[in-house]
Amino acid sequence: MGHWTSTSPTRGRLRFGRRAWMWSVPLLLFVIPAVFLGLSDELPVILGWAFAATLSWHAICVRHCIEIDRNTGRLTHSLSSLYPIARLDVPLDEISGFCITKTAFERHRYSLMLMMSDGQRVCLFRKGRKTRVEKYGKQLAEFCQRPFREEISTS
Amino acid sequence: MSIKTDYLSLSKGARWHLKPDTRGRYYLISSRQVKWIIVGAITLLVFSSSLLMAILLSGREQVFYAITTVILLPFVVLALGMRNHLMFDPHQGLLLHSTRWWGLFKRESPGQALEQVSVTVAPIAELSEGCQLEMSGQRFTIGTFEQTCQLALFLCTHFGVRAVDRVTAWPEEKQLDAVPSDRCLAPAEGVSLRETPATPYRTVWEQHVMLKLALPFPLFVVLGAVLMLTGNQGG
Repeated sequence: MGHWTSTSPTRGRLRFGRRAWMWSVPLLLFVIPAVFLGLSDELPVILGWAFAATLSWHAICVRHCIEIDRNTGRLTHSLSSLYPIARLDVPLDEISGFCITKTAFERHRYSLMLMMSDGQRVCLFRKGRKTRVEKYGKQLAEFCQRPFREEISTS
Repeated sequence: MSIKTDYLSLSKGARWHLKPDTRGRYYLISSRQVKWIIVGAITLLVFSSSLLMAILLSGREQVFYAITTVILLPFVVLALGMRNHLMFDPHQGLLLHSTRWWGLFKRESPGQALEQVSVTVAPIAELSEGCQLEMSGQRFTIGTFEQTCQLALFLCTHFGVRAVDRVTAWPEEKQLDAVPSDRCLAPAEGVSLRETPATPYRTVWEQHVMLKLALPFPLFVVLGAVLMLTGNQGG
């Protein structure tokens, strides 16, 4: 679930996956004892352990957020997990609004899109429940002082 | 320029939706017809496989497939013959809803006056590019912004409908002006179109996220191998 925090009137942050660390608990029950007891010499066991360890790493360390800084005039969408994974940096001046939309094949999964003044469309959040995505869109739009619309392209 | 020359200068996507009839009138294929054709095509597929089985098999199986073929045939004929058009009639100044079935049961019911009809160039929001034309509650996927604008201007110039653009100043709507009749309806001349984006933005989901998330995996495989060795030594 996304959580909106606004530390000052000019800075706001929408953070996702705050409870992702909970997924790491059952995984760590397997990963940590293996460190002390040692692993068997079968390849699938080693690969399975490495996979579980990678998943728990991300469950604990992943940081996914959309930050708006009206002082610098930028919107930053970043994804990191101790190391940077992906980042999108957009000037607020170029944003013409926010909208939620869905594809023809998905009835109840909505995406949050960023509409740019030059006609580009950038996806911020994918495939979420309508009420949830709408809430994020409205929070971001209100803070950026931009319009928010529902733009459904399928009949 | 003549309507025919302008029509031929339209993009392939636009000409797929807008077609001239035998009397030289132009029409848009309605979404209802598209749905009928899709249903018809699926039924035709099932029908042809049943027909093939009815020919190749023998005995009870042949009878079963023959019955299926006979049952499916009316559905195929019904669905594939449906025609539902939105006809632009400049003489009457009306948008006609024309329906027929295999050229029979022709019916043209008058709709809105053409001056009241508005065609909107709208973004396909779920895609990073691509536009569609909205008219009378129906949507026609045309192609790029320029191609969709060209079609909207064609309809505006020749049939007097109101052309609106909701892409350049989203979510505001901007009126598109008709092209003077002595000028060709080329995309570059039709309207002051936006320039190609100076900085194309890539959403974070397109930046090889899964690949980058897998980066610690090889590290843990090596660590796992080390743990295996130490475990074995300890044992």
